[in-house]
Amino acid sequence: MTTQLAWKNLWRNPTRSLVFLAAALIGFAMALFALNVMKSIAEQRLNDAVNTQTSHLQIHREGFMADKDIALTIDNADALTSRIQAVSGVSAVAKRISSNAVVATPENSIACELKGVNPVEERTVTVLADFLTEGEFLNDEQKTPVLVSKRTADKLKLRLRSKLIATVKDVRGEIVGASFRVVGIFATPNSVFDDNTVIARMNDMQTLTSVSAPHEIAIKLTNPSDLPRTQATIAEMLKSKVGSDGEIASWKALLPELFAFDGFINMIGVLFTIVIIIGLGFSILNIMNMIVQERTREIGMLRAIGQSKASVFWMLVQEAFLLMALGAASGIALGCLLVEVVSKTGISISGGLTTLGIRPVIYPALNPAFVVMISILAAALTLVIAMLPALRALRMNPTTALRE
Amino acid sequence: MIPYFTRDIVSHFFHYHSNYDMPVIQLKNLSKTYTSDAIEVHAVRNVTLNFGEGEFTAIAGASGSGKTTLLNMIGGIDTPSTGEVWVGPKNIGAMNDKERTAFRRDTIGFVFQSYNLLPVLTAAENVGFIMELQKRPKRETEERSFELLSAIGLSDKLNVRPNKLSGGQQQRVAVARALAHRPKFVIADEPTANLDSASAAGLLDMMQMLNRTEGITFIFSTHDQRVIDRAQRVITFGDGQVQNDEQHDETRNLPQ
Ligand SMILES: Nc1ncnc2c1ncn2[C@@H]1O[C@H](COP(=O)(O)OP(=O)(O)OP(=O)(O)O)[C@@H](O)[C@H]1O
Ligand SMILES: [Mg+2]
Repeated sequence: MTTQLAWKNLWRNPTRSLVFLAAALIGFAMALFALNVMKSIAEQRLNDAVNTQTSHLQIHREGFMADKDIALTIDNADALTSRIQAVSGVSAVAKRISSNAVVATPENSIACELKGVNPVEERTVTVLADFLTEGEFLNDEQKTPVLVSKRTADKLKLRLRSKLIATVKDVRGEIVGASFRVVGIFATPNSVFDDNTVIARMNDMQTLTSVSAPHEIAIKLTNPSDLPRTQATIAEMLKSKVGSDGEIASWKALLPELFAFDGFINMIGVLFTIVIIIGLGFSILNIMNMIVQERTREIGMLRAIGQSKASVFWMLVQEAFLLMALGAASGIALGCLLVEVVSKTGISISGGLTTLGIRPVIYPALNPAFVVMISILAAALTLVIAMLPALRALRMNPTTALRE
Repeated sequence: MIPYFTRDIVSHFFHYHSNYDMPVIQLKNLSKTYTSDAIEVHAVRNVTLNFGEGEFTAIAGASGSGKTTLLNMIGGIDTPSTGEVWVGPKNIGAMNDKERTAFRRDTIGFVFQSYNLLPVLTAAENVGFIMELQKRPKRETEERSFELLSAIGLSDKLNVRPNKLSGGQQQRVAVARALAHRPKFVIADEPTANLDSASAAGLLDMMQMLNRTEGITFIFSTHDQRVIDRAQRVITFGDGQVQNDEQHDETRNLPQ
């Protein structure tokens, strides 16, 4: 009965309710849209970095990450690799040789990380091959091939089949150099990676540096959410293996700035949502204050003829709740629709954001957790906000109210 | 004219109101003092009164004489400063807020000067409102609403909202609402003050009719002489005290 009455009372001032509903429609839709887009940007940036660069987990010799000492190789890498391959949740494993290098052409030179990869293995772990804009991926037929990024190619004035000289320190600490030929040019959304990475074949790197064992084992998981469990399993395996001092790290440790960015960009979405919902909360508070003011006499009458305090209180709270629920439901519906449409058409991100590794076009996916979060937030806030005016209405003596 | 205290004693001991044996309402040394801005206003002073079952009583008096204050205390929506209000065997002053609310709902019907119907409900829903509060069966509520609205000549306005009714019609609906749940008595504070004389007379006819057919006790305040003339008992109030309490001739109650 109080629910029906609350519903009817809601439409006593249709303009006021409709104005609020319009604001809530836009507010909730925007909030849901922003949350999903922000989340998708962070996820996409992360996926790109994980897929092209780090993969989910990496194993190195202890201390290698600090200054990439070329002598710190992983012993028994082949045996270790096959054991890791057998861990459940592991989808693919790839070994890499890695060295700081200077890459030069007659035009220019850059400092970068020169990676030696096994072409077949590498393709199972990273999706770099998908980002080739020119040429082809590494294979065994080519002669001393390398892949460079579009950005590096521009800086060094390189084209396909151009030659470059790579200089590294070998295993004895001597400076050695070799010439490579560009077979492919890639452009990933991850500009940090693009600026710093040149990729060669593992056997050519072995020849150049006289290092035979790899520095890095990259591990790709079937399901990223298995990461902590799989990481623990492999860490245990590394510890129990006598004489090995390999250490395992996840992308979170390998790409700390990316991990932070992920949190930051999600927080922007959440803050935006909180601001919108608090704004709507204030409108509700305002409306409730007006309602209590306008209906002082009526509330006094209801109390006089025998409606209990609890019942009047509940009736008023429900009115606020219905208003917010109606706004939230329509806004969330619109937000879902927007995300659904944009997930097909894509949304272009303009400005300099691509230098942060954000793709120029984002295809956001709808995350149901946000719908739940927004609903709970709105419901809780409304209950709290509606209570104040409702309690104020009840504190009034019915005789005073009736004399108004 | 018999002084009120004499009358009270007479009625009490000699059953002056022959057809009303037990008083439904007893006011014992009732007073109400308001204090605003350090000034004390004695709205009701030491009033002792009885109301018998089925009475049709007008409380007359000038503006500010304390009529509303008295009715509010009888109806349990205001608390006396001193004194007691007994309704049947119950002392309203001894009740807590929850009990008093339930008491008002079940025992009393209220009619207000400015109708105070719920604007979002139809006439029939307004009449059934208190029965709804009592959680009576829907069917019973609807039948009772229809019965009462028919009895007061508004059977064609069942599904009409108050803003589509005249003042007189709204006040009839308000009286029907006050009666629907068959309370022991109805308290009406200046029920005709906002009505033209024809509507006021119509409302009085209706109240008398319901007083007879439903046997419900009516206590209403007024300062309209035409309304006072229709009452069976008239208590004249002045300066927060009963100045006169007289019984009128039965025949004067008949619709004119
Ligand atoms: N809440 C209050 N605070 C202070 N004084 C009050 C309050 N309510 C009533 N009074 C005073 O008590 C006295 C009696 O008021 P009451 O409303 O009972 O008179 P009334 O006979 O109903 O008058 P009217 O015919 O104008 O309705 C008045 O002097 C009034 O100003
Ligand atoms: Mg009054």
